[in-house]
Amino acid sequence: MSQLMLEAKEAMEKILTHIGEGSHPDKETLTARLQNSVKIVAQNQNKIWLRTKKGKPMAEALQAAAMNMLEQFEGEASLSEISSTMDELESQVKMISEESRKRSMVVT
Amino acid sequence: MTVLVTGGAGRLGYEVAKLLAANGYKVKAFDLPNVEWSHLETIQGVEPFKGDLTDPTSLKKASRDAEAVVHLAALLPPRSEMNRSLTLKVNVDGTRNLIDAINSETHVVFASSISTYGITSEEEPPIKEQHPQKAHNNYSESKIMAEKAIKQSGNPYTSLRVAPVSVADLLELPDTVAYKTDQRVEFIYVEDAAQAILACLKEAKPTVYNIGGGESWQMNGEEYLNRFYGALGVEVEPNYPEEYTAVDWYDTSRSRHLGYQRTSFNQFEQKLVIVGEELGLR
Repeated sequence: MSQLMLEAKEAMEKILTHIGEGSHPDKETLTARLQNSVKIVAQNQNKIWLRTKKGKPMAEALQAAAMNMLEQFEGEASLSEISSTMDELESQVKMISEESRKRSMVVT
Repeated sequence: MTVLVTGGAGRLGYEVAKLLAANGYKVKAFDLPNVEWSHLETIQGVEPFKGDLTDPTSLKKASRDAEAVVHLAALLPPRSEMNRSLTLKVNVDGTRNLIDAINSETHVVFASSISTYGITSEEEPPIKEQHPQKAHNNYSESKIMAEKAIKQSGNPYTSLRVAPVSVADLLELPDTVAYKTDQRVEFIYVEDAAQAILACLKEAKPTVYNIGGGESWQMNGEEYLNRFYGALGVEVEPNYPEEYTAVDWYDTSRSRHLGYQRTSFNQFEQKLVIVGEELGLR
């Protein structure tokens, strides 16, 4: 299991708790987007390729985006800043998901 | 000669397109618009054509000047097993659309599958081309039907019952591996499968061939996975199924003259070692 992916998932779950407890104007949308990202991270956290020279930087980038977003929720970040970090986080999740898809073993 | 390669952007399709172009063929690589095309863009002699097997109009356009067709496009497992009607629509109706789009003289090299023999683990290996075909899932059913459609078309054809294709790259294990630990398995290196297709285009003889890696690739499921991931330098904990599946050892004596079995399993392992080093896994 990738420690970085685990840390990213934990940070995202903490953000979900913050959103649930708060009164964020985009609460429902952000929750749905984050839940989807958490699901994809959970599906990919054990992928072998994340241990490679290519995979490690991608896991690091995702973990950094998740930690950044958590800091924003714990601080005084604006809505636009949070939205921008969410976009970045989703972009990292999408790249990881796509790489996993390309590396799936097909036996016909 | 212009060759239409359906599924041209896929793993095998890419190798076929690259090999045909290197051998002086003009290649039209036909595949869905939303798949990854970037790897084909750098190959000279390959023209990308975005279309859909289920759309006869796009097939008509793509096949306009094709003198031969390599038909690889198909819905594959596990997706094929989620939706039977879509699998038949793509793999069988799509094949019929392709036959309708080309003229009756056009040679079709069709990538069928060894899975059309069904589950043969209780039988004496190796499995020959004369072995009865028996559908055991949506995919094998669709491949049997597509083979029949091509045979009945009257076009010159070669149906290749291809063993599962191996690529020298890091691949992720599925939740459950597609074969048991003690199951006989035989794969084929992707470049060798492409060589078989090239040789069939040159041969243009109506027939059916088993296409497999040969004796050095015949082992059991556990040995295959251990050697594959061992060469990459990765420890894995695979979940094996409880039931036998449709992979076995194949008699490739009829196809051997095509000269495609160029990569032994030992040589394949050496390629994986290099990949493992490049990826920082070793």
